[in-house]
Amino acid sequence: MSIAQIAMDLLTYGLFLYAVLLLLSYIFIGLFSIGETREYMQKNALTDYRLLASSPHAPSVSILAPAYNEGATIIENVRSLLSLYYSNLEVIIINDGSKDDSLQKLIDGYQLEKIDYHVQYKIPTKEVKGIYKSRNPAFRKLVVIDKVNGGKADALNVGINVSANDYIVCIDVDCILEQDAILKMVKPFLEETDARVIASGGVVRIANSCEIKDGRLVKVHLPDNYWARMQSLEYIRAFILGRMAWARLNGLLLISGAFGAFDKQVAISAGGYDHKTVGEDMELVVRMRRYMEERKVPYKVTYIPDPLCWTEAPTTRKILGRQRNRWTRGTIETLKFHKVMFFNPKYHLLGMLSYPYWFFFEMLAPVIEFFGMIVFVLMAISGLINWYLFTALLVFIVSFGYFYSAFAAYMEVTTYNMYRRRTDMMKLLITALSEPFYFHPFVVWSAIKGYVDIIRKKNSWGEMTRQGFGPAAAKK
Amino acid sequence: MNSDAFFRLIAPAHLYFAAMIFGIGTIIMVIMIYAFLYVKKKRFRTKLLVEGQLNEWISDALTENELPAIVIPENIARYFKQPAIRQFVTDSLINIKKNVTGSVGDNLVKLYEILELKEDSVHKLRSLVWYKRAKGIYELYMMQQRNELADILEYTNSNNEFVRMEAQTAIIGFSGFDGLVFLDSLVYPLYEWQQIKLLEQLNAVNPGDMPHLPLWLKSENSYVVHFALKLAEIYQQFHVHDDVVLCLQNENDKIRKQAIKTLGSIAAENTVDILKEQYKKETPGNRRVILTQLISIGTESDLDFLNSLLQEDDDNLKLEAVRAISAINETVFSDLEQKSPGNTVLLSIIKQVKYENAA
Repeated sequence: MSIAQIAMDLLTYGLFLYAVLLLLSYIFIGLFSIGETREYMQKNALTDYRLLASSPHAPSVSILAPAYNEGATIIENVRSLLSLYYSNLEVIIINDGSKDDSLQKLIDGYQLEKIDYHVQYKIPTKEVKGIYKSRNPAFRKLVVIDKVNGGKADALNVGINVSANDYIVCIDVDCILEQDAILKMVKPFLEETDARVIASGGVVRIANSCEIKDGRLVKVHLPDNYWARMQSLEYIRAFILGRMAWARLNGLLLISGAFGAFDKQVAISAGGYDHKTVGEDMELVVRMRRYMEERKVPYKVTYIPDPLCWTEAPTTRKILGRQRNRWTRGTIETLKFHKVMFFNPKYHLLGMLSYPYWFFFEMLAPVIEFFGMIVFVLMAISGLINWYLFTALLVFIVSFGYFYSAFAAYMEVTTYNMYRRRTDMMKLLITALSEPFYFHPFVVWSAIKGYVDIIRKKNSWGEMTRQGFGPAAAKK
Repeated sequence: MNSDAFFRLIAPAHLYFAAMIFGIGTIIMVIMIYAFLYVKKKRFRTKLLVEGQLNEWISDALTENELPAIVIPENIARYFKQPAIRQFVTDSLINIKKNVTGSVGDNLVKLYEILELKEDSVHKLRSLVWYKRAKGIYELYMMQQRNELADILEYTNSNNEFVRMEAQTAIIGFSGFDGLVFLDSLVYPLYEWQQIKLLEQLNAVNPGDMPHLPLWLKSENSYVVHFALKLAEIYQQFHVHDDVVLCLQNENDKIRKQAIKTLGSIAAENTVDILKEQYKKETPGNRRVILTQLISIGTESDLDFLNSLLQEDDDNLKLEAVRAISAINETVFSDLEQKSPGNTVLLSIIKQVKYENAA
């Protein structure tokens, strides 16, 4: 057997094994998420969250919301946060050196005054210029931090340093939270046994085309925009299936930066957010887990399937491409920082399953797909393609994708059923038909650009223009 | 595997067959989605119909002292046989019951009994499925079915956490502080969530002497000890002071933390000295809690101890020490600024405490 033949065989069987393992992992995730989601719903069917909202015994929580040039919507966004149901709450807005009038608007809108406050730099950060609190008791929960610009991770670290409470909930300031979001997010921390709950994630949903009034979600609609609609399906698959299954295994590596709760003490001990990566949300979870593993302290990272946080999804190829490029870079950077855990039994499930899964099926997947496309084109040009087999493989993989999406839609309908109109569900299912031929290749291409940027050592966030949740943006 | 065998395995016929299975699966999923939505909508319409009648009965229950005779109209009688509709009626009654008391509440309970919904709840209580059993307990408790108390009591030490939590909630709801007797023999966890729930329930009830409290403080179940410490703190059970002091030797730092807080609430003459002694052995977090207690129970004789802490590396501890000094003696606090020239950290902390005092 020639070397070329051996290489060809390795490539063929290797790719086949990779594809089989990937499909099996999807099947496993789908099946595993059913039990976790159903159990969560049964367990919480009788829960009266109201008692926690007003109880003096409820744990103290600080919401950390970094803001950079959010002057247009900051007053509304803060009002929305201040109206959340939870009495033992502190809302910390971190003005990350905005160039616009965000800070002045906050000072005027909430009657803020600069206070004497000793900032402890438990996590090293850029300088804090001032801390503001309101003279008006109606805004007693609000703390505004003005700091030198240092990026999202640095702003969150300042928030952690200033926070007075035991638990921190990190959010994007422009997200819309459900009124009972904090109550539901805190509960997993109150159910810990011998394993310390170090972090908890919540489901993020797409708010495009939804009706928003006074910073509150009034009515849910499926996005009109194709790209946003496709992301709705993607988010359902990722959150209801993927993260629930990983949470059941206690193998979750990512809690969305848009909405996640953390044990502050562990977050500080682990070193806080890393500002050297654009994937600071994933990196923090991985580092906190690694910290606990290395100290041999039993711990858990939980996830709750309730749709609690609504965010605006990119609606153009350009912005979506930047977002996926950044996500790819974040994943690569995080996995690179923590490469010591790769198939390292010292890190148990984290090292032996979670990390390898992310390495092979999240980080490498776009590269393998892209490489496959190049090989396909070259072989097609050279006339080496067995078209009959190729067509069969294509039909097989596309039909599997449709089945998986339909299953995700079924899970959504039978659990939280946010899209109640039958036409919405039909639109979602029809949109799914185009995914393998249009949306997915675009996402792969954006991820490849992320790889290129990593090689070129480009580490910017990329501008993320948003349309906002004004009346014009909502569905008529 | 040689290449021939491999390509036989992924022969197009096999792939097309698998694709057909996925295709059929997709169609089944879509049918199931729409069937589910159809059933849901149909059930919603039925609920609206039943809700109309239910609202009339509830209106009678809210306005009349005595509930008039209940007759289920023929047009909705058949719906009353459907478990989902009966559940809907039970849930509706419970939701209203949560917000009313007195004769109105009693009328709602009567309505629940007349509509024979209690039988459903008892049936759930006897179910082998944990979430049905938990729901049965919940419904019987919410509808004040005291005669089921003995059966429910058995489940307060159930190995299923949700059955156990509902049973504990029910017992406290029926018997107040006397219901806490289940703590004597509890071998399973009593989660923080459940502790908060029970404390909220006990909020409006007279605590009495809590004769079992010393026993709970010595329990082998750390959750019971933790909860007992909270009870001692909230209801200021001075008679267990020495038992609480023993809890400072517990290995679990959460229990020690709660014991420190409790001692702050039931302080005796020697408490501050005990806490100062404990300070050296504690974690930074618990040290901070000790200093917080000194804000309310510290005296002039503790000022030397507090002043010595101003040299600590941990700014959190310095801050708490300054707060305690400020609470104990305003003059000593005022002098602190002059005594610390050049100590920028301490001056910054003093400024913060001054702002807090003024606010």
